[in-house]
Amino acid sequence: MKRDEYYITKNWLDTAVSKIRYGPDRRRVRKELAAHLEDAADAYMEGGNYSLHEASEIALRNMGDACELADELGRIHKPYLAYFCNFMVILAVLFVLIFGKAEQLDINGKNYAMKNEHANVEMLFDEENRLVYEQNSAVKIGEYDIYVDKAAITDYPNGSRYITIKLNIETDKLSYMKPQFFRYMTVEDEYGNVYRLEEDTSNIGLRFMTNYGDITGKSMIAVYFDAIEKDAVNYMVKYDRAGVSFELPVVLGGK
Amino acid sequence: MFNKKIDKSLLSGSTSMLVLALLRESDKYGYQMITELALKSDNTFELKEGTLYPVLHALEKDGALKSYDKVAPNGKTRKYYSITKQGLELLEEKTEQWNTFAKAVNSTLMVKGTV
Repeated sequence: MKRDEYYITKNWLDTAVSKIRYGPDRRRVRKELAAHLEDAADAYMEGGNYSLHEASEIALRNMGDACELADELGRIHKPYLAYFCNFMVILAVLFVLIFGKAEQLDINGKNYAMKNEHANVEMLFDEENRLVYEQNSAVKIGEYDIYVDKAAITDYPNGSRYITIKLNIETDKLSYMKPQFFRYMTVEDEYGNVYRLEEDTSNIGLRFMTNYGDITGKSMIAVYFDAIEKDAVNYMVKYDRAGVSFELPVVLGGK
Repeated sequence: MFNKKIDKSLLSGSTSMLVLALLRESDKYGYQMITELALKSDNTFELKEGTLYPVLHALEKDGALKSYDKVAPNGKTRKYYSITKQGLELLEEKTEQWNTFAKAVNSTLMVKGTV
């Protein structure tokens, strides 16, 4: 049984934080007060041979009136700043949606619906750092399928590691698209590190710092990133632009 | 019979000063402050424990304190508070005010011949 959810304390805690209107603040304060009650009850149990029930009651009595505390906490934890931050986030999302849609229409007149279908790709590397990979499925973006075409890991003497992943879209070339504002592609590894990718556009399609010499007539999206965790093998490539959105989990095998 | 516990209203205005003074020594979490306060004052400063938190949160909001999570000696994660430079300045100011106030009260009581 969780001590802070013990029936005596639960009501007291709920009341004490009831006037903190911003949820995250309310939860933080509740946790802090619950920790205090837990410490106090432990001390009474150790020092006075009280049962948990009795110790919790004494701890609550010593905390004082929950309603009075609620009034004071409510006065201090004003929600305005938090609401302002939330408002700014909403504004930013609206901005992205509005401009994302406008940009979407610039792509060769094609309409790209947002899809979130995933591909799981297992990649393995041979001794010469050449990729051997196994592809399970494609990522669906609008009417197009995206496949992982190539990937490579390069370790440098200075300790940095570079990974390049190239994704191919099996379709006609995309037209040139002028970036309207920066929205970076990111890669997240299994440790929760998020890496921002540099971005490039060209008249043969969308590219992300591709260093491939074998550019074909096909459009492609490639990603290139560095300074990654050495031990990470699971990556999530995330892309959200021009009405196109996908998340691509990629597993990189050890060399 | 003499009651050692002091009038609550005398304590309420000085709680923030006491908290700042406690945190000047080392970082502490809420329950730890309550126990140390009772210990140091020989149980004279026994306030309702819940009232500590509005004081802590107000001081943090004003920049006098900072908080962070840390594993306490009992093995559980607790929210610790530390005093900032601004907090030290505030403590100095409050101590000065307190000394002036105490001196004035004592002088008045002496004149009346009650102490």
